[in-house]
Amino acid sequence: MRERFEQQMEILHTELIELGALCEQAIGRTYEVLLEGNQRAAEEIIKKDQVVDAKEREIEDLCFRIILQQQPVARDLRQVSAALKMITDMERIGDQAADIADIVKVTSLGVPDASIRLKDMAKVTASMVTKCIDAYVKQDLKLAREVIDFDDIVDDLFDEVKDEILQGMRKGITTDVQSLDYLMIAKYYERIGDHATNIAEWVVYSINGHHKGE
Amino acid sequence: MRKKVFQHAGALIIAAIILTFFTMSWAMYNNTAEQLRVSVRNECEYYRYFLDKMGDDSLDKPAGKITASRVTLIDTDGTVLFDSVEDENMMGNHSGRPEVIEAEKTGESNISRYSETLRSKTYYTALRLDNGKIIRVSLTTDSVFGVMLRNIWLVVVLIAAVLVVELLMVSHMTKALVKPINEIDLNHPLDNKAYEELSPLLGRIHQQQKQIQQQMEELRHNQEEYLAITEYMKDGLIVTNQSVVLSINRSAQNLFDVTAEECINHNIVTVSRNEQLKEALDHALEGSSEERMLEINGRVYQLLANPVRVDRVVSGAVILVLDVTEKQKAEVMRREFSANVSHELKTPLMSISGYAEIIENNMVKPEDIPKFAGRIHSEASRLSSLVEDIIKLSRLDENDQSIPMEEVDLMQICRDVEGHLSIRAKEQQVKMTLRGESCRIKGARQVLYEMIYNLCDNAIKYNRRDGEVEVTVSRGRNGRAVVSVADTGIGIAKEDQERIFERFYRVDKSHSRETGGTGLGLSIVKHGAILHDAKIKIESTLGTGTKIILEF
Repeated sequence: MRERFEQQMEILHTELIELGALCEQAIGRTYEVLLEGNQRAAEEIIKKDQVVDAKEREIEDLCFRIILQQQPVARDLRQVSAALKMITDMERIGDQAADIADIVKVTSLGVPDASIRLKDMAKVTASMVTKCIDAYVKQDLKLAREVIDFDDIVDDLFDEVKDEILQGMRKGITTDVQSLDYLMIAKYYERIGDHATNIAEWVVYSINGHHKGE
Repeated sequence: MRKKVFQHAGALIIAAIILTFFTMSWAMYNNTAEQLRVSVRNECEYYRYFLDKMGDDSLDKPAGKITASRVTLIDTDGTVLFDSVEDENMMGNHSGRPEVIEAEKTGESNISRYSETLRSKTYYTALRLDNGKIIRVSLTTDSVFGVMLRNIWLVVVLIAAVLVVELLMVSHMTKALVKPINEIDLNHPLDNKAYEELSPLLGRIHQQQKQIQQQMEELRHNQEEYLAITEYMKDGLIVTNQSVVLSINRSAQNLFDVTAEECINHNIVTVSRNEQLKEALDHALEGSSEERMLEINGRVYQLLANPVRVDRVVSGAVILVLDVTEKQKAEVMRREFSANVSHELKTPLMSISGYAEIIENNMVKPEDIPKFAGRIHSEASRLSSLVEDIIKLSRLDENDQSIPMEEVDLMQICRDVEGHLSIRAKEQQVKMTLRGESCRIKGARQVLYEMIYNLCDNAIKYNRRDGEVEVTVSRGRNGRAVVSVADTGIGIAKEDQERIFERFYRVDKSHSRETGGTGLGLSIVKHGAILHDAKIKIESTLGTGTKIILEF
């Protein structure tokens, strides 16, 4: 029985990393899409989102099956419940990456050279997603806390990007529609950052049982 | 073992007891039976004797009570006249009894009969008296079966006692027997002298131990060899089965920034979430070899994933990760070089063919032909010097060993170069000076000449009017020979200093045609320096001059 439980936990671990990898790739690609306006890559991100959704349901199923069949306690239960929470955030990251790709696909806008901050934001959030999944894989508390600290940087960046967009509008570099799209994209990145932070918090919880510094 | 011994010995002892009991009972009984028969007969003879003498009437009840035997007197017609035990009137006719019939016939009869239950046996002796009556004496005793039956409890008690004793004995005996076997030192089986009967077994154990030790040694050796190869190889190596990572060597651990504990017995995603890696592994596990390129931390890796087949079933995969960054860089450079060469070769050829075509079509005035021919000539010589330089370079590139090394004097070579370039220096109005001492080193004369020639040629070419070129040959503080070529020319910008040794690289691309040259000069210097293990140093300031130092 215990052996089967450990087997299921290993599968859960692997699947979770795979889902994380999918999100990581999706957000990594949005960066390319944003810089190069690559339509095909945008399509791919949108298509991959379905894979992310399917994987999320699969992991959810597995989590419930473990809880029902094995009735885990203590650290085991913590890991399963943390996994349940994490996949929701991962799925949201996948969705938001697809949303960004959608905007780029429809309006085919490249990033204006002036909007350096938006690029930074894309880069920082992508690295946050990578790091929070790394933290999960290695069960690394330090790395997870690093991601949580990064959230403030992303929030600051969002304000700066907002300013930048406003300046662009005033100077007539970008049209109203473009400006709105940029704002949406920036907001999506900011949300992705939040989700990455959530994942990192759940990683901390699964390791030591403390959530949000309780 | 104890149980078995107990069972076997017990069965044997019980069988022996029972058998002895039966035979003894039988023999003893036969012995007493014979005595009984004789005594019954003797008794009967007495009765006959007395009855014949004294008449039948003397036999009365008290006389019958004297002996334990039963005495019966039977009349000639078979009626019982007297019986010492029962009332004679109650007894039936005895004429049908076998002993009576026989006694009437022969005068004497000895017969024995078992009772109905077989428990007792009666001995009869009947004798005929003189008056024809028959006297019969009988004695009943236990039969052989009766004796046995009566004594059977003795056997049971005996067996029980013997079994108790046996249990104790066997337990003690087996303990004593097994003790030396248990005490055998199996690590040194041949040193034991427990039982002679065990020596073949011990011999075999010894042999097997030796075999096992050998095989273990072999296995350990193989394992060490494998570890030595995989742990110290530069390339990453990952071995997996169908689901998890089995081993990952140090290079791969460093490359993917993981430790072995983190990924062994876990899925490949714990090593890296790289898409290429996962896809390549999946294909390998399906049975096809895969080759991919990876980019990690700005370096390029070639990833080879091969399936491992056991009995034609894919049981795992081997992934090899090779760092091909340098190789790829070299590849790019080679491609650029060939593109450059074809371009550089094509330009003079195009001019030559252009001039020739104009002349061919009579579009040139006769007096202009020498001018055109001169241009064709200069382009052709440019082409030939270019080809020459390429050949020199490729020779330097190809095989360093084939170039003969000899003792040469650097000062002498510099003097030769000065002699060759003095005319050109005068044309460019550049003053060339040579200073220093004689320095002998081991080197390839032709290559050294080319190097210094190219440096001096550049120093003149890229100089200003009334500039100076100073060549110095000296011995450095560390004993190495130093040749420096300093000019007062245009200088080289910092960002260009790295690149001037690349093939066909020109600092000033727009004016290269005017100054001539092939763009390969400094490349030849660089390769010559590599051949001689020499260091090249550049000290240059834009606009004031350049000093290139060769340290041999």
